[in-house]
Amino acid sequence: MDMTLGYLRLEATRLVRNISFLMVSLVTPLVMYVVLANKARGAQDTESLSFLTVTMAAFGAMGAVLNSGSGIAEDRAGGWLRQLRLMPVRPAQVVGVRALTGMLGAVPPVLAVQLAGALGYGVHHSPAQWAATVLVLWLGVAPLALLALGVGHLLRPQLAQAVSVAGYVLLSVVGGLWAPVDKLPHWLQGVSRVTPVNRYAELALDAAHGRAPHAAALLVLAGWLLASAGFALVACRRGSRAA
Amino acid sequence: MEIGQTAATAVRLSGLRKSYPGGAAPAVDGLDLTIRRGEMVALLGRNGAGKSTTVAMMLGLLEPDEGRVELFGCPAAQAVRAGQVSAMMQEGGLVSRVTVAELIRFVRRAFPRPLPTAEILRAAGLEGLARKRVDRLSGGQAQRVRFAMALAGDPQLLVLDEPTAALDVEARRELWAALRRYAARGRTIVFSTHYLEEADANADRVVVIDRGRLVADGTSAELKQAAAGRIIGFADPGMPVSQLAMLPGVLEAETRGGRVRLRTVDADATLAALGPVRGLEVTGAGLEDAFVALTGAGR
Repeated sequence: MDMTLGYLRLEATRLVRNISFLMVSLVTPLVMYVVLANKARGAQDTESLSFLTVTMAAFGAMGAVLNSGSGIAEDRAGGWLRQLRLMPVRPAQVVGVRALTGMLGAVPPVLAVQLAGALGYGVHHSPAQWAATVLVLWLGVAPLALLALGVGHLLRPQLAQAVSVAGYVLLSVVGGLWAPVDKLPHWLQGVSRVTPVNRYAELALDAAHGRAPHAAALLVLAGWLLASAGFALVACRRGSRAA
Repeated sequence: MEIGQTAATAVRLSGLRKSYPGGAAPAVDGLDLTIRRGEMVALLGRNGAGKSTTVAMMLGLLEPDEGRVELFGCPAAQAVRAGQVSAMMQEGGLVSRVTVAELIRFVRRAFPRPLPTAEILRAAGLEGLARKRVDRLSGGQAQRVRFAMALAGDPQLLVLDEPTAALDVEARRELWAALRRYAARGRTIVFSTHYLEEADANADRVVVIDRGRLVADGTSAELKQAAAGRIIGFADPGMPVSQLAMLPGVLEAETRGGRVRLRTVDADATLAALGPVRGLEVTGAGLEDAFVALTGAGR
């Protein structure tokens, strides 16, 4: 446990000093949100406004964890993961701590978009709904954090970066972050329902509107969590051997 | 029983074999090596002799095709997890955006019985650099940090792959002094090098590896004696090398810069057959000659 906390402290320090990463992952979703929210407000479309307040926060959280997770490819190329392997550190600790630091990086964009929604665009929720939304937006991104870590463990830095950016764009469209899923082509809607992004956004939207979560959404997300944790662990064992 | 507290053998490699896909010859080809606790052993060999592959298998980073690795009687991974082993690899292994002190603090927390921080910084010559960012250090300073990380956990076995590669003369001297102090505490040290002088000056025991095989094993004095005999040098009398090589006792003959150099197992017989020559010099062969003889590097 002491070891895990020490490692978490090290990685958190690295995160806090990564100013450019923090800025990019904060500003990108915030700008997107402001542009789209202005449009919705102009059209007096409060439904879209409250939708965007959740989905653009999810978009920001996802961007942060994908970027951070695929960044582990650079640590691997630099021999840091091999060094960890030569220390009393288990792959599960590496994966757990890195997933958690990735998720810490998701906190600023989530909070920023929620605050912008509440203060700038008059989005109304009860305090409990706000709290639940923020919590779901933060916790629900875990499967994506683990998925990105697995990719980062297996691919060279530039390739990992490219895959995570492509995945980011694709998943955010298919997952229904830009527009509700029912506006997608029919065949894509089925695909969307099994992605972690869609179910993540669904749970967060339900929390924002004070609705009880759907069992199907919880199940799909839990399935992704388990699968991506397994994938990240296997990738970590494989990836930190060589190089 | 706690791992490693009772085993008298630090490292046991038996029948190790490793080929890389596409490699013509195996990188390691049937290597047996046993290292006792408290020994300071040099793995000496040319570049590409199989040293780094051997080290990687010794540490459990690479799975051998055949053979076994035991550290303190356990599989390598288990000894690493128990904090018995630590290593300084040839390159890399540092991390960005942290200070030297932060990195050392992390490593100390990872090991069950680490050295005191001040002692680590002193041994690695890092006093005054503790607050500097690791990614803003010079090559030599970074190498010291890598050494400090290897030392921090106070491991029973310290493995160093070409440890002096990025260091200047002064820093090398300091590193060897620190390693000898570490060894004096009863710790086992294994280092690989292609520098003969380093092996000669710092190891209790020199293990020569060539083409993935162990070709010699002993103290450097033993190796010099066993492999090389004596060297006879004199001004070139204009005799063809092929004829010089036929003289009694001669193992090897070469002419260079107007001088002849013969390596011989029987200097008296060689000189008697040679007759009078000018500028004669007879010396004991150095470790370099032993190395050339053992590995055929000059051929």
